[in-house]
Amino acid sequence: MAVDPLRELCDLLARLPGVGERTAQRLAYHVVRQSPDYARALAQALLGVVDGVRTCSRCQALTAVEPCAICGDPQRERGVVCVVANPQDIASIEATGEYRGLYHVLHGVLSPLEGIGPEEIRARQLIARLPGEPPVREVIVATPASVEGEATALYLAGLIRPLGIAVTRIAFGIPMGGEIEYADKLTLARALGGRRPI
Amino acid sequence: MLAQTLTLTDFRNVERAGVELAPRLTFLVGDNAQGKTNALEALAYALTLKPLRPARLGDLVRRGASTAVVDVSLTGPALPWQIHVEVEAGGRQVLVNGKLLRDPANLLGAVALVAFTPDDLALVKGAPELRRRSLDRFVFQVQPGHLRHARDYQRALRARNLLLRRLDRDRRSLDAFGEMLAIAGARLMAGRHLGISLLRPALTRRHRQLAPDGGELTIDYRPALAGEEAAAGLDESAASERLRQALQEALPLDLARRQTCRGPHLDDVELALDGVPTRRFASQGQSRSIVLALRLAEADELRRARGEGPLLLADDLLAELDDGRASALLTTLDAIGARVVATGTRLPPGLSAATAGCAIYSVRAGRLSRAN
Ligand SMILES: Nc1ncnc2c1ncn2[C@@H]1O[C@H](COP(=O)(O)OP(=O)(O)OP(=O)(O)O)[C@@H](O)[C@H]1O
Ligand SMILES: [Mg+2]
Ligand SMILES: [Zn+2]
Repeated sequence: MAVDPLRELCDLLARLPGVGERTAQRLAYHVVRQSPDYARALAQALLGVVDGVRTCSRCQALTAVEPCAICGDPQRERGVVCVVANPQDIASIEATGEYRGLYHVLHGVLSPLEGIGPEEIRARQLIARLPGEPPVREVIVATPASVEGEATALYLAGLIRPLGIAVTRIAFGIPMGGEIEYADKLTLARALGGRRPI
Repeated sequence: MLAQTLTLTDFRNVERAGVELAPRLTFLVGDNAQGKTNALEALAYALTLKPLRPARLGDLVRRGASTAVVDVSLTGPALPWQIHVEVEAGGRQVLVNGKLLRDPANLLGAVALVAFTPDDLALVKGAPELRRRSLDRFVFQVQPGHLRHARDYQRALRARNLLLRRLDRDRRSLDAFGEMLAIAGARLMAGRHLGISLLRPALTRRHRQLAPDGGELTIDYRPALAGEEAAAGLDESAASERLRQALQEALPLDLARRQTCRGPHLDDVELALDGVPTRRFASQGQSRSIVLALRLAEADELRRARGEGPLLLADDLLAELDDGRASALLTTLDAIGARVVATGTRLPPGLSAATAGCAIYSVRAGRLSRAN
């Protein structure tokens, strides 16, 4: 049976977060009305993401090059690592212009209710990189201010403190439950500045 | 803010209805099983997102319909609000002034609300959970952060209990979520302390008015964390330290029982008449006065905290009270400045189509019609 390509595009778009049937339809029709070059470029970009993006072996961020641009930048301060839950949190913190250290992406937070345990977040990779050259002297935990985000920070502190490395938590002026993604630049810059030991 | 109008679509047995809320009293009158409580519940639901009676979301949707909609308009010193709630069996959506509501705490703050329903009698002799919930609901309204603390505590508790049930029982994760329990639990307890200290004097006073010969009614917080200092009220960091310690001590027990055996999820609130806990002896009549005194005390304190009378929902008013007490109650509420919405199978004595500031609706088979 022949598939209806337009229908199929709608169905696929509707699987994106925040996109309902109606929006998917609008997007699909929009693509059709554009010049074919746009659709080809979009398809290429999608393929590029699939084939070209991997996680950085050092910080676990999404990247096309190995190591990622931040890990590879000789100007970054190597003794400080900021731990975030999601890859997109890096962009938010970079936008503040206040932070010059490295990152580590957990790809999640501990959440027994969703079956996410220590093995499902990249905590082991974090511990493994701490004794590097030069060794890390401060870990800043910037997980969300939710119950799970806070518990994850406490969990990491329990692992890291015995190694003699300072563990700090960014001071959330961000509302409780707040995702870093939604915090504005100024709040986030203040949160980074006012971090406290865990 | 003041609730002005209520509109229901496919909510319970009401296909479509609109109610103009009168400044003093709006009375919904009709025979049994016609939809009076349903209409009252729609109003409570739009303001608290909790039904008046235990129900699943799908129960709120009229049989044969797919979506229940409740609209409530509020006015206040600042801008008017439009609350729009859509309920389906699979979920609900709330729009405030056309914008999606992310945090229900923002809604709970809008209107001070006290509900008095026949089920409340169980507060006196029923399980501690009922009293905890009643207290928390009051505290949410005087201290909006309390809702978040209660929810955080529940989330951390569920997480820790799940970890206790798992075979590996990863100690570090247990500790991390235990610490979250200690932090959120201390805030939860602080809120409950605050609530009790606000209610205590008003409750005793109100009860004395309602039952002059009925003995002195007192209310006390009984935290599950034993210890005099816990009952007397600790500051937050001392309370979380106490909780942390209790969790440590009880860990072997928790591991054996596979659940958290200490903490404010087991708190109680004690009501006592002349020092004797009412849970053990209160008669029906005594229970009625006690619950009524409690709700009036809440109304008093909400009025004080907000500078405006609360919205008081009284379901089945005359089933609970004889005519004399019902009219005395309405007079009292009027003095508090409460805006009352009540239901009953007949009108309370003295209320007629001509009473100023009052609206009467008759309810029949899910239809509401204005009778004055
Ligand atoms: N989802 C629903 N769809 C249709 N009807 C419903 C729904 N939920 C409840 N009902 C009906 O609503 C009626 C009860 O309405 P309600 O509880 O408001 O009665 P009431 O007028 O308060 O009566 P009473 O005086 O006995 O308290 C019942 O007949 C019940 O079957
Ligand atoms: Mg009823
Ligand atoms: Zn990297």
